[in-house]
Amino acid sequence: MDTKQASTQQISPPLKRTDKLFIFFMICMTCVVALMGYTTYQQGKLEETSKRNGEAWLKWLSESAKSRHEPGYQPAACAAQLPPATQTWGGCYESITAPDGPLGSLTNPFSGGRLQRGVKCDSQDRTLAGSLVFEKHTPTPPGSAIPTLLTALADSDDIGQKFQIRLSVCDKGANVVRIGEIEF
Amino acid sequence: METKEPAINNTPMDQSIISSDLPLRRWLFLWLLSPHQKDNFQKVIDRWISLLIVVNLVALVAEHIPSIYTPFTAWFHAFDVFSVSVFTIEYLLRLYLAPEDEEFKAAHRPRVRYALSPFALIDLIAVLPFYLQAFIPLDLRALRLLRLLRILKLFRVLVPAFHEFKQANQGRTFRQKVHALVFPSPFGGELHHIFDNFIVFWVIVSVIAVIFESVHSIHYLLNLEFIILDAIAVGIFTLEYCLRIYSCVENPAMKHALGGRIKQAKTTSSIIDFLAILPFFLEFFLHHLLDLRFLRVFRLLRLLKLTRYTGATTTLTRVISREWPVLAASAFIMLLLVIMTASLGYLFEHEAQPEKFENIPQSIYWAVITLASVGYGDISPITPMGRVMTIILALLGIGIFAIPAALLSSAFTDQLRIERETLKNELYEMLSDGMLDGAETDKVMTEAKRLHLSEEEVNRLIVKAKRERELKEDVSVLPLHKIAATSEHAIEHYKVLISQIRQLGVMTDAARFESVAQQTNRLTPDEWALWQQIQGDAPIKP
Repeated sequence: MDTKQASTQQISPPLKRTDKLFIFFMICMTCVVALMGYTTYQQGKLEETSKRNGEAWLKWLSESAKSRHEPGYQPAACAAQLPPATQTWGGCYESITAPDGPLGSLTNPFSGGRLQRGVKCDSQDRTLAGSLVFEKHTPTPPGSAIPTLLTALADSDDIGQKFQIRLSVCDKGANVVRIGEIEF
Repeated sequence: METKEPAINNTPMDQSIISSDLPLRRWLFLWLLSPHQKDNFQKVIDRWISLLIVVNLVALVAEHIPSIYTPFTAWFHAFDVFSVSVFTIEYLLRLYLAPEDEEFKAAHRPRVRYALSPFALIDLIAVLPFYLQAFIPLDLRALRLLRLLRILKLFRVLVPAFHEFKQANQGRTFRQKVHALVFPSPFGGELHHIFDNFIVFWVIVSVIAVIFESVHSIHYLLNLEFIILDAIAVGIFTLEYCLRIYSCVENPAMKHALGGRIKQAKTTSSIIDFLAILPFFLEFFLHHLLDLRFLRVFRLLRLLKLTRYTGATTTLTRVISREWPVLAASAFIMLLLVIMTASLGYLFEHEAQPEKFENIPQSIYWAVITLASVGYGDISPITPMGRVMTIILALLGIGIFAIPAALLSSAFTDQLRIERETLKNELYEMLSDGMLDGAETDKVMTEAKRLHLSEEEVNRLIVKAKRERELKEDVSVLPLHKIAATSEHAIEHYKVLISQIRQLGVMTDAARFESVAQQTNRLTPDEWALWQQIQGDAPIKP
């Protein structure tokens, strides 16, 4: 590239109007990218809060898994020794997330409202962002290629016996973020 | 013809010798710190120290992430001790060698003068907190903040580069300066190299980040850090893209304000630059409408930005375009073989294995896997005819499928040979004045770097080109009519002939020559008189 020719001419003033415009444009671009980065970061922080919610749930479920088989366990809806007819996941969930329940203070960071459950994360439904997704491992008949099937944990599901739960949360795009698995 | 010795001694390719008889301090200074001594370790030391500073900065950032810092605390501490040791050795070395430095040797107390210089103070600040914490209990956060000051050490490289750039671009417009910074040009200097290295660093960092993002356990822990990293990388690449588009009009081939910029935007490297930043913007603006997570993988395209800094891809493109007809013919034969194999496979095996050789398209998969010698084994022939055919076709496949690879490899070697030959020819032309000037040396060095030639190889090429030129300048080997065509050559040739006649007179037996010449009338009187004049036996007639 022969730029030497152009260099020989003395330039005055050093910054032309177009140069100033370009510098202004560059500053604007920097601000725009910084703003976009900041917004993405804020969204990321909300996702992190969702993950912390999921981790809090996982911790609680893990601690309760040991003690819920003992007599006098509270909240009673989650205890394992109740008669089978009343031991449902829906009842247990409601008692945990009740305002005075152990995880009642958790909120959905995206909506700011109560922490809700979803059957599964679906990127087509953005209202699910921040939701918890509980799934259970259901054993398949003997001889099957897959030992267990993963199905959504329904409100009516019996929780009287031990079972394997997989907990996930939905991120800002309502895509699944796996938190962990626990035997409850 | 008298030619000037090529000024290859002034080129950076040559060795400069540092005498071992020098006093130790002088000897050390010349080897380690002197910026004016060629082929010493000054640049290497600067480069490694700069790298260590950058790694220190990365380590400092990583220390703020508990999931990384907690399990590797001991390693982080060990690295800090290592860094401080290196920086301390560097500081002490510079202090010891300060009396040899042109900048400080004239001072009354050179070492004190050095210790009070801005660079020395920065060096001291970089290591002092580490030693201070042994005596004063410092808060960890304050200590980290002080360690951040190590980045200031980069000014030792940046400031001289900036001054050099400023000097080289004196009187030039802002846009010309931007052009010199982002595009290779004679005005870029070291600052342009630093800019390139900065971009390369961010390309590598962002690509590593994209790769690790795909690991769930890492992404889960470092989601926010990846977001920050990506935003910074996009910011840098966006500004780089704007700078390139803005200043490209300084290139004479892209002079037109709009047309030139469109032309620049359409170049492969600019398209790659654009694609490197596009996923970020698309995902930001369109994520409400579409699931654009797949675009994240396209951030790996940033790796292609590195192609700007290597000539390997250009060579490969040239090779493919040059060998395209042969490659296409080979691809056609391969296609033919694949379809025939698949059809025969279907013919022989369909009845025996209808679920595996269900149709010809399905058999194509088996044919390609067999012919390419991959052989997964998930589909294999079981009929005797099918197996016989597989044996024959597998053997054929080894040869046919190897053709493009062999073609490419030989064409690649050929291309390198051609390019080296071109460089030799260029050298030949450059040596027409008998020497290589600064610009020519720079051009040769750039080309040599692109062709991955070592200094020794370049020197060998220079010597070869020089010899060839000397040989060509030996006019005696040229036909007479060609010598006569150039007056300078004719004069030189005449002088050579005269000197040869004189030589003949010295070497032959003078008495015998004279008697034979005169007795047998082999020479005319004029010829004899001329002989005597040339030999200096007779006065030269006016």
